[in-house]
Amino acid sequence: MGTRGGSERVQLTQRTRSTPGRFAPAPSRPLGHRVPPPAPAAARRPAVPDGVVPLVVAAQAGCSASFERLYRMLAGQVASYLRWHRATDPDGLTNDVFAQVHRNLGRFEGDEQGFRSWLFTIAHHRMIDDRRRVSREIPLQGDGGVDESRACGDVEEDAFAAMSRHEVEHLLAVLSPDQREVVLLRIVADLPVDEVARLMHKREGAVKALQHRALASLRRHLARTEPEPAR
Amino acid sequence: MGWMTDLDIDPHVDAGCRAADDKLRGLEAYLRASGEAEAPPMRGDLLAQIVLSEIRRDRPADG
Repeated sequence: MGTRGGSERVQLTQRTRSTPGRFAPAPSRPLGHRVPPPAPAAARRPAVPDGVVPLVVAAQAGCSASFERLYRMLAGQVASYLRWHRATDPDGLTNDVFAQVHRNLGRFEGDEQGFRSWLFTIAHHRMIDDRRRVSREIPLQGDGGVDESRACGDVEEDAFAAMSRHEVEHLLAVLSPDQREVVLLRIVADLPVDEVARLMHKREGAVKALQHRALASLRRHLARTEPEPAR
Repeated sequence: MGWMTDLDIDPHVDAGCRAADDKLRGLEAYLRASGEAEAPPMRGDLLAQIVLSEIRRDRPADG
């Protein structure tokens, strides 16, 4: 997360608000030189960077457009993570998560992986708060999951062709809460084992064991329910 | 499919198990694709929070 060190980590606290050349003397112009008209407001704004780290740096410097782009890049994953956990209002909770990220962004230090891990730690805590608020186990059924009309791309098309949302919900319901959490953090949040372990307050070996047991449970379940091939 | 690479797939599995592994790969692809869905709409209060923050930072300090 944000406060951990690492040789490859990028310090994100460096501010980029400085305006290079602001106090430099104006270049002299020959008499009669025509001054070009000022650029439109949109053109004068600094370009919004690409990539999570530059966006975080710019957002830390107060660039709202960069934060909005960060939101567009990552909010889908957060909403999906919360949706598969059957959060009561995944889209609303996603907004809550990003509001908290924005409030605490100035204190964040780390690389892209660290930022993703921090983001999903907040999402994880929001999900637990939501569960406590509901104070009962939410069955894995009903509306939720993926808006299948929004998917695009060959890999996604193949996945959607092979499975239905109902099947996915049914399979996730086979898992224990911890197994489900590991599967969602590894796949939907795309976090490595060490980050999942830290987030779940478990050892890496325990996370690997949970993942292995989750796969074994799913495979057993699928092998049991697979229809006999036609003879 | 990084998650599935952790699977210890038995080379002597029967057809039923192979079908189960295909389904597992389908599950992984489905979950991964669900994370690539469009971001939900940004709520007005969050938008206001980030815009106000930018305005406050850009405003010269009083005094």
